[in-house]
Amino acid sequence: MAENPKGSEVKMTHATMKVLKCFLGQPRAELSGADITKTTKVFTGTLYPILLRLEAAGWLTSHWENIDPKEEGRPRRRYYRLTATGQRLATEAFNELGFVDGRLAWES
Amino acid sequence: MGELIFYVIGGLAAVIGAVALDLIRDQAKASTPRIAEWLRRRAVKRLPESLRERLDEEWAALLNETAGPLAKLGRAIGFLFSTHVIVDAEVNENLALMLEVQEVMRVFYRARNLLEDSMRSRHDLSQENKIVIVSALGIFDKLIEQYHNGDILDEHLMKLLDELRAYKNSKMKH
Repeated sequence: MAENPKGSEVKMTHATMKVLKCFLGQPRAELSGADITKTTKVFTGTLYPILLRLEAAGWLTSHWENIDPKEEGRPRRRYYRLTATGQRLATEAFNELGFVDGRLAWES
Repeated sequence: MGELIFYVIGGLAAVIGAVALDLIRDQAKASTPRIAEWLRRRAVKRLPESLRERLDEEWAALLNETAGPLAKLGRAIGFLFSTHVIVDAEVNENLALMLEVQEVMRVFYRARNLLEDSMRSRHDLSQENKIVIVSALGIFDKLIEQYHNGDILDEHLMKLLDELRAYKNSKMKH
């Protein structure tokens, strides 16, 4: 478990690590749920609880796509981005688990 | 002759079967996105109210950009699973919070009893008991900071906290 600024803890499950790794690979990117599932192959059913939890913990932040759904004829996407705190804590968590550049140290 | 009839009937059955399968497949293809949308709505409806509006649009966008009826169906089943996990987590968090509030209440009553005893007996609080009261206040403050939400820390609890603070201010400064 990793600490977060809001007091509760982030469960470092395999799927959570995959999601965090996806964000750490492109720390400034804004990714939609579709982008994340495409990259991580994490099942939608697992992804959203993870995203909501990471956001509640302050590791991620999210905002709506800046479009008019009526004009575009489709619903707005929600974009997620790693916060500075999230980046620091995720990196620390990976280091604690023995990861170097997203791989287990003893693998590289 | 009998054999010929058998083959004719068999052939006809095969043709009818193939046509029927085609129709069923087309029907399923056409219906799957509708079923997926129905499942998405169902998943959204069961979400906690605070998340409903947000995930309604977010999941609609995700379903919209998912290509293929079967993939859409898979996503929609994923939404149902998400809802289940989210609702389950919320129940567990509420339970944990309830236990936490109960613990705080226990510490609060202990602190209040100590203060009342001290006021009644006109004896100063021992150092140990002062620590109990300061800890009680500390736990309350932490709880408030963590859940700065009026719905969670109800009026009753806030009133008790004010009461404890008043006790502390009136007695502990001596």
